[in-house]
Amino acid sequence: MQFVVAFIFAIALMAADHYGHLLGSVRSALLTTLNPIEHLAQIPSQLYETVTQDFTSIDELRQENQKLKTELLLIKAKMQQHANMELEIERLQALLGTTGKIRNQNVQIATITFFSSNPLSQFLSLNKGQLDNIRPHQVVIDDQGIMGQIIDTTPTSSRVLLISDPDHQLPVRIQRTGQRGILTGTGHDQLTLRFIPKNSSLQIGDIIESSGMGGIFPEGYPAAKITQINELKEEPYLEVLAEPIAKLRQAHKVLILSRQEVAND
Amino acid sequence: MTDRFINVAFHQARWLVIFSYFVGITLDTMLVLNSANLYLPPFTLLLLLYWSAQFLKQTHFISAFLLGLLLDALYQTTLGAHALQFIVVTFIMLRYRLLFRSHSVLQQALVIFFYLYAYQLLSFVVLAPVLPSDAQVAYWLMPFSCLLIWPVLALSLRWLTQRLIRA
Repeated sequence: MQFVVAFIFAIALMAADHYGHLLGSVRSALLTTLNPIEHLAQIPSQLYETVTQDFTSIDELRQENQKLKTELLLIKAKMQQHANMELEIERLQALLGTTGKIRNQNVQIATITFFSSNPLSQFLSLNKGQLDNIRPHQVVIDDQGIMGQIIDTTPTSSRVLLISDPDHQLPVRIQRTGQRGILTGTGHDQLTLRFIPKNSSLQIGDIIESSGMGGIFPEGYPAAKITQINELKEEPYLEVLAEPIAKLRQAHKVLILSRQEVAND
Repeated sequence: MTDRFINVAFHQARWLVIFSYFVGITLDTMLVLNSANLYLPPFTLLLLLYWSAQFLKQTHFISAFLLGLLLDALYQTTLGAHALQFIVVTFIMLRYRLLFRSHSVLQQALVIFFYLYAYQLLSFVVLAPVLPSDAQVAYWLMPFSCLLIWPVLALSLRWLTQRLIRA
C-alpha cells in the first residue's frame, strides 16, 4: 500500500513539475539544502587547484598580467567607438522619427561554483542568488557570448540552464543574413539550429546571434557558430549543427544581465 | 567473520544511517562534477538498498522518496523522476530482502547488479538521457562497477554498525 501511495505521489509530482512548473519553491528549498553539500563536494578539486596554482611561476603570472593589461586597453578603445555608435544610432532614430528603444543593461559579475555536463542536464551554479536580486530568466553571458539563463535561485546561489541543454531553446538569427531560427541544445556542448528552410544561404562558420524575440534574451548577443550543414532528402528544413561561442566549460567569471528598457522618445 | 547482515534495531543505528546518506549525497555531488560519473552508480541508491535489507521493520519508502527528490534537484531533472526510480528499486529489494540477506556479499553484489540494471532501464525511459556513442557504453556498463563497490560498501557498513552497537 505504501508503495502505491509513494508511486502515485512521485508521478503526480513529476506531472506538476513538468507541465505546471508549480514547484519552483520546492526546488529552491531542495537546492538550498544541497548548497552546503555542493561546497563540501568541491573541496577536493579546490585543494587540487590551490596546490597546482602555488606552483605557477612568477614569470607566468607577469606574462598573464601583461596580456590582460593589453586586452583591457583594446577593450577600452572599442568601448569608445561603441559609445559613439550608440549616440549615432540615437541621432538617426530621432531623425527617422521611429520609436526606438535603447536597452540599458545592468550587469552583475558572478563566479561559477559548480558545473555539470551529464546526459541528464547541462547546468552551472553561480554564487549570486535572491539576496543579490537575481531572478529566474535572467540571461548569463561570458566575454564571448550567451551561456544560458537562470532557472532556479536560492538566497545565496542560482542555477543556470546552459544553451547546450536539450531543454533549452533560444530564438536566434544568422548575423550575416538575418535569417531567423530556433537554437536548441542537444547535450554535450552541441547545438542544432532548427527551422531553417533549404533555400537559405548558410555557410559553415556563420555566427548565430540572439534575435530578441521571446522577450527573454536581448538581441545581438552571439550564441553559436555553425559547424555543419546537412540537407536531408525528405525534410523541408536543413539540419544545421553548431557549437557554442561562450566558453561553457572554461569560464570562471560570468555576467548576469538584468534588462531594463528605457523608451527613447 | 561472516559477511552477512547483523541483527540490529533501527533506533540503534539511526545516526549512522543519516550520516551515511549525507556522505552518499556528497559523493554523488562529486560525481556530477566529474566526467567519469557515468561509470559509477549513485551511492545514495546503494546505501538505500543496503539499509532496506538491514532494517526489516521499515519500508524505507519515505527515505527513497526524499533521497530521490534531492537527486532530482542535484541533477536538475523533473522533480519526482529520481524519487520514482528509487521507490521502484526499493520495492523490488523489499520483496526479496529476506532471501537477499541470506546471500554472501559476492552473491549480493550480483543481485545489486541486476537492480542497478533495472534502475538504468527506468532512467532511460523516464529521463531520456542524451547519450553519444562513448557515453552509451559507459551508461550500460555502470552496473558492473557495483560488483566491486558493493562488497566494500556492505562490509564497511557492517563493521561500522557493529562498532556502533558495541560502543
